[in-house]
Amino acid sequence: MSLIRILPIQKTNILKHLLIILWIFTSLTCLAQDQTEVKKTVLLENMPITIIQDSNSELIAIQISGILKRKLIVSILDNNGKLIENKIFRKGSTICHIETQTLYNGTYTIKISNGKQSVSEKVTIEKEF
Amino acid sequence: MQIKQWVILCLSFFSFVLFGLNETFAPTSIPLEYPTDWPEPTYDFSKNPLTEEGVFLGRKLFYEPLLSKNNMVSCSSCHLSFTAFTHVDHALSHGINDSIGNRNSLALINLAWSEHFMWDGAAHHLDVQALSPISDPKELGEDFNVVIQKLQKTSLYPSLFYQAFGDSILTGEYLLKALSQFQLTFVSANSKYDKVMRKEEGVSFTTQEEKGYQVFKKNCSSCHIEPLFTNGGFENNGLAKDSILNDLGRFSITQNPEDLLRFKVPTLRNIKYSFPYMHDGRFRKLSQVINHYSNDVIPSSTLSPLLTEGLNLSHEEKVDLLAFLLTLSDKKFVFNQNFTYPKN
Repeated sequence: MSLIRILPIQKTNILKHLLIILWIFTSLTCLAQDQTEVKKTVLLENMPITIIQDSNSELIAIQISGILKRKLIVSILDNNGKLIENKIFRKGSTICHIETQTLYNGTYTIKISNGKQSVSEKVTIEKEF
Repeated sequence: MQIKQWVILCLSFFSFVLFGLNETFAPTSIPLEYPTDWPEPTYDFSKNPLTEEGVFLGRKLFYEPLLSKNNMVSCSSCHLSFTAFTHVDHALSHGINDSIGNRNSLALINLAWSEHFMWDGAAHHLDVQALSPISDPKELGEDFNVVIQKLQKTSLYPSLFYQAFGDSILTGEYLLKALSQFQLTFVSANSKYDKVMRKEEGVSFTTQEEKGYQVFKKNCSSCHIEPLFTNGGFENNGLAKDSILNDLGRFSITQNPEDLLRFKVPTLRNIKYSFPYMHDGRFRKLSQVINHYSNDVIPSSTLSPLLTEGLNLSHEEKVDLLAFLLTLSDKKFVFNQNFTYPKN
């Protein structure tokens, strides 16, 4: 009854409106499921580094929460440990990315190195390809 | 004759003389540069030879919002040089007063070899193509005669037209020819693919790119013929018809049932930069395009015969093909300073 008082809805239309709300909610949930994002955080010299994979963007982003004080080398290696690409994560920036368009489905390793120490994390490429 | 009239006559005479002294009509011819192993351009340069002045005028006009009804939209609004002369942030082109058109804009590349323009081939000569977007109410929406009048009133254009064509009285023919001259210089021939084909030292395909090239030659090259990566024709590539846009393609021009759902075959050059793809911009990613050709082609009576079976590519073949398509990216072309907004 309170809903009827607040909103200009006829009693007979309540079911219709509830169905519309349910439909919108379901659609939004489906959309959210379509765009899956995987975040993993690793530590390098106590600096948290987040590796972000977004199913829609065909790239892997490597992000830190502040400004990078010295450059890092970000590498992606295949399942056999073969180097595919090196990227420089430049001093003074907050994010770098690796494009995954030309990678086959499978498991890869992201290696982040500062020249002295390094951390690695597995990522899985799964395309609807 | 009264003194006042004499004064006006004398001033007009001296202005004419001064104008004549300052402005000389001596256009500098420039050649169209393109690889020697490419076919001859189909554009007839004898009727509109390229000159530095003509190209510069065309460049000014390409970026000129006076061409639109509300003086806010120019050719470059939809054809950005940094994205291979197309727009990338929306599927359908935007025009004056926030209007949204019916199609995605085509990338403008290697137009000297093109005989049909627009997705449906509505224009069959580059020199008349611009008439369509200028007058289309969902694009620039301006009367072509009004465009000429507006430009004639400026302090800049009569002089530029004189330098390019020897006449400070603007005409539609000159305007269109100048636009053509600028667009004819959009030659893209410096991608990694081109360098590999030229056997440039130190440049070669990766194993994956080479595999992708073989997939391309087997499955795509009938329509996207090298080196221009188009056959210049129209094909039905098996897309589902959008029920809202209801775009019938080439049929809307010819009324020939055989042309139903046939659209211009675009070049694949710089495809990395020219997303979204297809006449209605329905695909944002190259992987979606490849998936369409491989698995989602819709049969119809006008479907391109080469697509009737679908390409049925494996996962690896699709990724390899994509890797090859990325080799068609020509950074020198998209970052060419001669194509950007003319500051002077």
